[in-house]
Amino acid sequence: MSRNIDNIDRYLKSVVLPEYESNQHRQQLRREVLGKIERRQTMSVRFKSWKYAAVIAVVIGAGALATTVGLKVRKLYFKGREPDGTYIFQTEPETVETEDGRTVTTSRTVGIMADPNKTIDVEQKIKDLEEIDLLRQQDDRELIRVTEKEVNGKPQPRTFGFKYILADGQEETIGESDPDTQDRERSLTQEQQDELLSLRLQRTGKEEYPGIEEKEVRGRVFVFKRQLYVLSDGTEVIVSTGKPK
Amino acid sequence: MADDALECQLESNSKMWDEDQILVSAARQDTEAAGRLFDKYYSEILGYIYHCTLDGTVAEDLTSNVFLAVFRYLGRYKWRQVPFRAWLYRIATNEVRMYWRRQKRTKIISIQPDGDEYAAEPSAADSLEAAEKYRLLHKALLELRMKYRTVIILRYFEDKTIAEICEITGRKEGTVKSQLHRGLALLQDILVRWGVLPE
Repeated sequence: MSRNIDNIDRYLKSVVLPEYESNQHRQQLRREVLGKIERRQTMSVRFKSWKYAAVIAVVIGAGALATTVGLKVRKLYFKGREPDGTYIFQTEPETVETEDGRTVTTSRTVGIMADPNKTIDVEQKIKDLEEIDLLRQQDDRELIRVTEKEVNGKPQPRTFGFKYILADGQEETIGESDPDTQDRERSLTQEQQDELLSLRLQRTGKEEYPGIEEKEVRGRVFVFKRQLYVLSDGTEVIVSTGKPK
Repeated sequence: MADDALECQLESNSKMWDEDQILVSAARQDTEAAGRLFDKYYSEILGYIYHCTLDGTVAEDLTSNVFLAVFRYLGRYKWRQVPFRAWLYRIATNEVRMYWRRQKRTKIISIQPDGDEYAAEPSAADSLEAAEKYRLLHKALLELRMKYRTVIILRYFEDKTIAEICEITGRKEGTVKSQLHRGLALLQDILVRWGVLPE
């Protein structure tokens, strides 16, 4: 083997390096990378406390909306941040007619829970939420979770978890109240809800299911697993979580 | 011996490191900063992987793996151990290494210089001659063991100093210098055998 490497050194220094650029790949990868970061910031369900875990959409309105006729592009605005880090977005108030002929003014508020020490791309989130709103109006979504609760035997409002697939392929799961049960009285205080969530997190992965039942929700059969929790003040809460069969 | 090739150049990169340090810290919480970090290094890493593989599609795939891994594990990255750029190159080098391992199982590399198994992608080099020269060199590099190939590419194509190569490969200065020298000698022998370089 040659020990004098002058030749190869000169040769290598004279080589013209080929270049490779792909703007399309750069843009695609950039979107994918940033999309993942943002999703992790807003949807890391298993980490940290529950407050930083879920993406929850809350519909605040004066009554159930009538069946939507046509699609409305509802502009969302960033209203501000709560001390716990939640980003609040809201549509402009609009007047609609309900099924029973009443006229009500409603607006839609969406809370995106996030770590208070972290920020999300607000502009991009607005675009995603507006796209989700359009998909929601068309019911172009998949119901993947139904949660029912009973507090000391009293049924509570039911919540749905819908999966939306956006145009860029990213998936978002948004929770919202079941309009048929949202008028039910909520029995738990905020402290009790916090304690319940804490108990649920502690029991994650080691749940016992005293009752399993099948039920049809929005035309799909769900398997519900019931779990009993007893709060420190003796309140008994049964949480029944349904997933598609 | 080409002393300058082996010289340990301890350039002061503190300004660059500071800038990266700020960007990396911000990128953990802020997608805008993450975007800036991505923009800063995308072309460099794509170029490095392309020089290693000479295949645009493969380079894109591996670059995707690198950046997805980097931003996934950004929270685990520790500044004191290695500068961000070196960490990025280390991940890219590992990706390339794994790629060649996979290829080794399925492909037999020709030892003839005139084969076309590794035909170059359309090149932006000034001339066809330059593209052909690189293609041939790349083919010769594939004859080397990965450790030799890596240090040569980093030193000559990516303009890394010995100190930077040490950070990227995690090896000591003496080891890197020795690998570079041995790799160059082996490469020279191959190119002499192929008639590319005079004896």
